[in-house]
Amino acid sequence: MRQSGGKMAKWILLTAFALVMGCGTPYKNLAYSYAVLNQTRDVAEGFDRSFKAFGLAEHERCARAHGVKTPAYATCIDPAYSFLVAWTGQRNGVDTGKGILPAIQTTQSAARRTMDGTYDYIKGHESECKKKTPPPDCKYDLMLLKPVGCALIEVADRAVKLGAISVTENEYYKLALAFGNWALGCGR
Amino acid sequence: MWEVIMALESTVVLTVVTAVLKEAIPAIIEAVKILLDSPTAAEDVRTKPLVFSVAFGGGDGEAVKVQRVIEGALPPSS
Repeated sequence: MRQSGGKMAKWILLTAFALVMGCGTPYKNLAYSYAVLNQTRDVAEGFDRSFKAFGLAEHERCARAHGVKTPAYATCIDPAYSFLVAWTGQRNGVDTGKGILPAIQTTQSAARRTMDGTYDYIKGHESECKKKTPPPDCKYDLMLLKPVGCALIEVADRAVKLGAISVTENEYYKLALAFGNWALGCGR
Repeated sequence: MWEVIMALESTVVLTVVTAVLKEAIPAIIEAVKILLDSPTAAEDVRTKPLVFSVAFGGGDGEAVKVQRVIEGALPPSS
């Protein structure tokens, strides 16, 4: 009888959950989207701090081994420096227009504006958005963040190969990996 | 005999009800909490601007600072 009570509890639980999900707030998808966006920002900024530490360590190593302002220093620091240029999009203080981080931030800002637009739409159309088949404007399409997910995993792969971040020690690597896996079809 | 059956059934019903409450309530509360929290969560974020602590174009950021150090250490021809 105890077992049958458990089964009944599970059935009630599932029904309640289905009801709750079925009558879900139209803001649920949006709140989740905002959370995902914030996580992508945290990963990008976490990587930026890691790359700073890597650049500094490489600079110190090369300066110690070859002395600064020498051709040997330039050769030694080149892989790290090229990586930093690709990441920040700046060379000698000049914007190359090709930085990975600025591109990520541009996409994030655009995503944020779209999410805010979705919020305003829902606010003005709550009853329509609560319907079983709501208008498409009631939901933010998370796949719009796909370029950010792809950029994060791409830069993470390059950083690991270069030794800029450690797969086991970098707390943002796994998150970047998760975003890369979620944004299926990157580079195709 | 009838009283015994009734007493047994009451126990069974009580067991079932307890089991249902024990298993279902926390999950339902959690689901309702999400349901209630989400509009607030979305509204909270909607009213806050998106702030990047790394802001390019403004010259901030962490990695870019070490880039300046490296550029200062490169030989003039690089």
